[in-house]
Amino acid sequence: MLRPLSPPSFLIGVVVLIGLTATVHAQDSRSATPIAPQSGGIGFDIFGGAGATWPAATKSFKAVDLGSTLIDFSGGARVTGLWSGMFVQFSGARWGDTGERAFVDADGTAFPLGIPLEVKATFLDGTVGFKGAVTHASMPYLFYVGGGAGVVRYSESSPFAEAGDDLEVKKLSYHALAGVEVPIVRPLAVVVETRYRYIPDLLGDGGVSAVFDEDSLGGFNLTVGLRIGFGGPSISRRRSAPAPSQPDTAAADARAEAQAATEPRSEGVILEAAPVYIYPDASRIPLKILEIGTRIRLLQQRGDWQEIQFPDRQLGPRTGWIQKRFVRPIGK
Amino acid sequence: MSIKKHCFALAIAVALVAAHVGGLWTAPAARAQEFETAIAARDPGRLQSLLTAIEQGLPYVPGEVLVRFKPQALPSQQASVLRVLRAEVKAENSRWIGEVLHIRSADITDPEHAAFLLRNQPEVLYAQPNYLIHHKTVPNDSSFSVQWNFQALNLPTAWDINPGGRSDVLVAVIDSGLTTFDTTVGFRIWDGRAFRVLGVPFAKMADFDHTRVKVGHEFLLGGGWSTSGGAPILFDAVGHGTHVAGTIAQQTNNNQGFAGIAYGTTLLPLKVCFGYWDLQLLFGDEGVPGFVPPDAEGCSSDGIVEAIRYAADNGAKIINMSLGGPDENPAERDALQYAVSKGAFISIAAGNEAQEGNPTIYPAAFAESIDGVMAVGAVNRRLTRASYSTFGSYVEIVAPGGGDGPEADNIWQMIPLQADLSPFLLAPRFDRSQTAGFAGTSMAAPHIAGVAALLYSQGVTRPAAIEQALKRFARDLGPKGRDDEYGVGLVDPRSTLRGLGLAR
Repeated sequence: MLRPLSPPSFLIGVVVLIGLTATVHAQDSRSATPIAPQSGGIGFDIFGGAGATWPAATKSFKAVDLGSTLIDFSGGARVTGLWSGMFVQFSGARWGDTGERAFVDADGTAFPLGIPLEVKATFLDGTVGFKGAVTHASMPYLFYVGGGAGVVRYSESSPFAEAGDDLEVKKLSYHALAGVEVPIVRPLAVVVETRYRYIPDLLGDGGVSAVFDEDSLGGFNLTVGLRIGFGGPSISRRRSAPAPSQPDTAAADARAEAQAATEPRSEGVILEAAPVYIYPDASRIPLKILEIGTRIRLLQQRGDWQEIQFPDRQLGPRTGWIQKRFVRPIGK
Repeated sequence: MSIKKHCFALAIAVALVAAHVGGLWTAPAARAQEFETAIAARDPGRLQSLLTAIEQGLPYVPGEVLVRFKPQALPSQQASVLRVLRAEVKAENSRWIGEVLHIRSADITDPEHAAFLLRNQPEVLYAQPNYLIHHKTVPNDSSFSVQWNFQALNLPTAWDINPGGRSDVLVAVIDSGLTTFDTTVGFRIWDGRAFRVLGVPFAKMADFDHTRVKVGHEFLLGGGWSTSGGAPILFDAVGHGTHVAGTIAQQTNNNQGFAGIAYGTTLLPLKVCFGYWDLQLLFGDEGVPGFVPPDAEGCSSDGIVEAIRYAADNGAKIINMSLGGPDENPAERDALQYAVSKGAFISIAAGNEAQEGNPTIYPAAFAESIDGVMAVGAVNRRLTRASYSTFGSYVEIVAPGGGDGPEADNIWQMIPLQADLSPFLLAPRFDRSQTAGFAGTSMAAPHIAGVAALLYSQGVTRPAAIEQALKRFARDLGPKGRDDEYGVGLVDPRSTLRGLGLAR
């Protein structure tokens, strides 16, 4: 069985996870990994879904005939595209189930007593994390990882209770999460998220959880839901990742194309190793990394992006988009 | 069941009250507006709802919620709020009780959720299901009020959880028997000059439900009485066994006599102890003239061992043994281990010799080393160790045993009429009864057996687990933690039967 992490190590793990992800993201502009930097500015997501929770206190849950899998409902809101792809989100979730009170003997055998036991847990979480995009040939998607803390309100009640028998308590909880968003129709995406929650000191002082020495109400959760996103990281083909200063409108595109048409063709040279994309979209997999000094032909411009024709040893001359800062024009 | 009758009467009373106090369904400030029609107070559906709740053990009446709006909530806002119920609320299915609106609708399938929805509306002060407040199941037995011991254990709350246990749970009482025979038969009896055949009347012991009392078996001198037709004759010539059996399973809620703890279980009286008339009748049958000593009584080990095994072999899941002595008897220990191995939990009186040198008492002392066998000490009405209650490392738990005070502080149950068992009679009779207050660990042990029987009925079926549960939920008395006088403390039936939740 998985042993729950202690809060400090849990939080350290979350920070390391986010840091590693951000590092990969930072290195991405100079490599050909599928993780792409964000360029969509600040965005806003709302999301909701239903999921399943597998409690860490498996023996305790089983002893009182609570489901080994709990159905929960969750939702929340997220601000994305903060510094270096970071996001902040607030979310809530709730599950409840009815089991049966029991006595557990020294051997760990549970004897159900026929008395209903109703448990409910409501979670309010704050999360910070990183959200990025991955373009895959057949299925582009967004991903995110994060971690944080929150409050859980837990209640436990049964018939025949006297004063103090039932329980209603609030405790701190900690969590780490990772999720994938697959766009359906902009701005809608299907979300699959997994979360591990650690809630120390809620269980273990009484009830069957004390018998089994299980102290965390947390566990793994898998949620499937929908996300509606406005701005922020995106992988839409046409206008999902415009340059920050470029208005993401058809009119702007038209203006850029008109401007490019009026400009004479010229040549340029690559100032440092730089990715060239099929569209002016940094979230895509680069077609190629052009080496410093590569001679290119300059075609049209669009915002901070330059369409170029570049040499390819295998395929011959190809066209693509590169960020202007990597190019120095060298005349007509 | 009289409980059902009470519930039915309650339901009718509620309906009648509703018929009288039913008002108009409108907000106080909005009567004669959109909800001005009078409610239909006599709603036959409510009776059914109440019965459903009672039968299903629901904590609330199905399909009903109570809601109170904030004073500033306008009638139109109130009507708007009620739409969250997705149930049609109109005069016929709602009524005002003061400031509280009582709504009834079959569309309210989950009253707790409905109340939750209402509570989350800003115009609502509070909302709740229509909870059923249960009366504590205080038996109506006329003498229950003198059974301080049951009230000290808060048994009515335990009976709310488990009203008496299941009839398929067999509780063996290894003691002086219980009269389960009800015909007059002739015995050859020495009258001081010659033997005469005299009729001895028997009647099944009063205040016991004999549909839940097995005929039993006698282990005195290797066998018992029977009629010429072969019908076994079991009787209690002492009263001790009847008293003990009564504490465990006296008929309860029958408007007479006393209550018993596990009054829904089935008794198996096993006679191993004898009194004057047991011996006198046996001697008469043997043709031995004369009289046995008036105070003749006792329990032979062979009978005890045989009875323990008989109980285990015949399906007893709980065994009570309110007997013991200072002599260690390994056969009894083996019999106890055998019974436990067959799934029987055993409660044994710890002994009444604290003021007589406090010797170790057997078979109670075996309990310490056998999981599933408990030695039971006694507390008096002040819930301190009874002065007579033997103490030592083998005492595991305590229960009321009475004594140390006026007669009222004893443990009261039904017994055979003692005057009918007098050694100075020409012949005894076993067809009449009386109440009696006894004191001793003999009286404490059946409390544990009774609670164990309830617990077994509840689902804890392993002897060792029953012992652990009784210990786990006992109320600590005396020095903190286990001690030699009180063991782990006073048995707590309600907590024991209620068991454990997830976190509490």
